[in-house]
Amino acid sequence: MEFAQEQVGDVVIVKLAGRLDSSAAQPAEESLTRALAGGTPHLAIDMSALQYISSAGLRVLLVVAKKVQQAKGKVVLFGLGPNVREVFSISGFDKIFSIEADAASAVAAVR
Amino acid sequence: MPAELPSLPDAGSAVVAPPLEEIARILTPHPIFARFDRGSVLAVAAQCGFATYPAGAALMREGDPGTFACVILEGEADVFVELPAGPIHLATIGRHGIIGELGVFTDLPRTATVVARTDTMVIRIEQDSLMKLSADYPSIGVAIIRELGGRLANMNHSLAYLTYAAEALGHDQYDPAFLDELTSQSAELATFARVFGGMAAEIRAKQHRREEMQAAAEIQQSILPAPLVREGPGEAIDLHAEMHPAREIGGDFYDYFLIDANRLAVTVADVSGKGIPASLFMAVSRTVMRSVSSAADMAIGMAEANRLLATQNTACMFVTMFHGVLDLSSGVLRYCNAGHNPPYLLRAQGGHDTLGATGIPFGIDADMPCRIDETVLHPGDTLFLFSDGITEAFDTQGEEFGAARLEAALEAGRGGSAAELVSGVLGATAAFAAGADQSDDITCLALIFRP
Repeated sequence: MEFAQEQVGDVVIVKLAGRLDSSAAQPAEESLTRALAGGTPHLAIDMSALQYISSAGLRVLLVVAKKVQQAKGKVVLFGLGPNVREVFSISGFDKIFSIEADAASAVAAVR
Repeated sequence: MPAELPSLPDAGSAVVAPPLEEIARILTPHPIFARFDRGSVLAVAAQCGFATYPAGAALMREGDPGTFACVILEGEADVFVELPAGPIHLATIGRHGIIGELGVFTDLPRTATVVARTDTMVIRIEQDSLMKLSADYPSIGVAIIRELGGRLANMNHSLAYLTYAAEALGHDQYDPAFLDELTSQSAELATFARVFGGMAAEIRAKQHRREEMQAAAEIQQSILPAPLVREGPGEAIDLHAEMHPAREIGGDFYDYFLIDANRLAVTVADVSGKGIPASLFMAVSRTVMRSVSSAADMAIGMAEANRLLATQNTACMFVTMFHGVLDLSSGVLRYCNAGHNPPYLLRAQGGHDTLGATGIPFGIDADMPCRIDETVLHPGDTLFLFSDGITEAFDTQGEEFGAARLEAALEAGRGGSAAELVSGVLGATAAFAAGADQSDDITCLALIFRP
C-alpha cells in the first residue's frame, strides 16, 4: 500500500493507495501517526485510491481517530470508492467517521 | 559493509620491497606455492611487484579479467560477491593471506570483488611473469595442476557435508556440530557454515512456534460448542456450524446454546484482524457474550457486553456481532446486529430476507445502547449466519466470491439438512478460490427451524 502526504495550510492531507489489509495495517498506522505529529491535528484522509479495506484497516482508522480525539483535533475521510463505501455502510463505520465527498469539502470540514 | 562497492579497481601505488628471502617465506605456506621447489619460489619472489591500497579501495572487481594474485603484507581486505540483492560478504583476508590466486593461473574472470578494509600493502604476482617463469621452471606447471585438483576434491568434500546438514535439517535431526568441520576448510566456507547455522536455528525456532500454534488451534476448536442434542427442545432445530481460521488460529467465533427449554441463543462474531491478536480478543468476546446471555432484558445485556469490550481496549480492537435469541415455540427471533454482514433468512415458501445492522460493532463506543430488532421464523425457514471470509474469499485473479454467488449456493442447498447447506456453501467458496490463499477466517452457521 502506498502512502503520500501533503500540507494545505494547517490541514494535513494523507492519501492511501492500494489495499489496506492486515499486512499493510502496521506501516499504515505508523505513517498516519507520523502525519499527526506536531500541534493539533487537522487530518483529511484521501481514500480515492484505496481498492480494498479489511477489518484490520478499519482498526487502523479507529486507532488514528482515537489519537486525533485525544489531541483535540479533527479527522475526516473523503473520496470513498464504492467497495470501501459498502464496507463502511455494513460495518456502521459511516456513523463513526465524518465522510466528505471531495478534497475541498474535507479540508473545509477539518480546518 | 559498504553499500556500494568501488566501481574500478585501483592501480595501487608503489612501495619499498622486502628482501627476496622474506618474500619467499611469505609465499611458501600458501597451497598454490607450497608445491613449488625452492628455486621456483625464489624466482617468483624476484618477479613480484608491490602495491598499496588505501582503505575502501578495490583491489579487484568481480567479472574483470584476472591477471595477478595478491598476498597481503599489512592490512586486511574484504571479499564480496555481488548478488541482485546486494553485495554479500564472504570473507576477510588478513596478513599473509592470498587473494585472486586463480587469476594468476587461468584466464577466468574474477569470482569476487575485493576491497581494502584498512590501508593495505600487498605483494603482486603477475600472470605474465609466472607464465614466463614456468617455461624455465616446469615444476611450477605441475604444482599448479596438483593444487587445483586438490581444491576440487576439497570442494566436493565440503559440499557433501552441506548436503548432509541440509537433509538432517529436513528430518529435524540437525546438530550444529555437523558444520564445525567446514569452518576449518577455508575462509569462504567458514562464513557460509556460520550463515547456514543461523538459518538452521531459525528454521527450528519456527517449527517450534508452529507446533505451539497447532496446539492453540486445537484448544480454540475445542471451545466451540458441541452439536446440539436433537431431543427435547433440540428437536425443533437442525443446526450445523463450522469455523475455519485463515492462519492457525482465528478471530471469528460462533456460539449457540439453549438458554432454557424454550429459547436458543445463537451468535456469530468476527474480530478485527486475524491471527493471535484477534484470537485473544475473540476469547474475551465469547466469554463476555456468554456472561450476559442470562440478562432478562436483551438490550441491556448486549449494551453491557459492548461496554465490557470497549473498556480497557487501547488497541482499538472491535468485533462485529450478530446475536439472536429464538423462541422455539413461537419462532420469534429477537436479535441485534452490530455491524456484522447481514445474515440470510431463507423462507420455506421461497425468497429470502436479510437481517440488517442495528448498530455499530462492539468494542468501539462504551456508552452505545443496543437496539434489538425482531422477525419471525416459520416452519422450514433457514437462518444462515456467516462471516465476511465467505463473501470476501478471493480467487487467484483477485475477484471476490461476493453476495450473488453466496445466494446461489444457498438456493442450491434448499431442502437439504443444515450440514448439507454449510458444506455446499464452503464447497462453492473453496472451488471459487481454487488455489488462492485463504485471506480471512471463514465461519458458517445454518439453522433450520422445524418445530
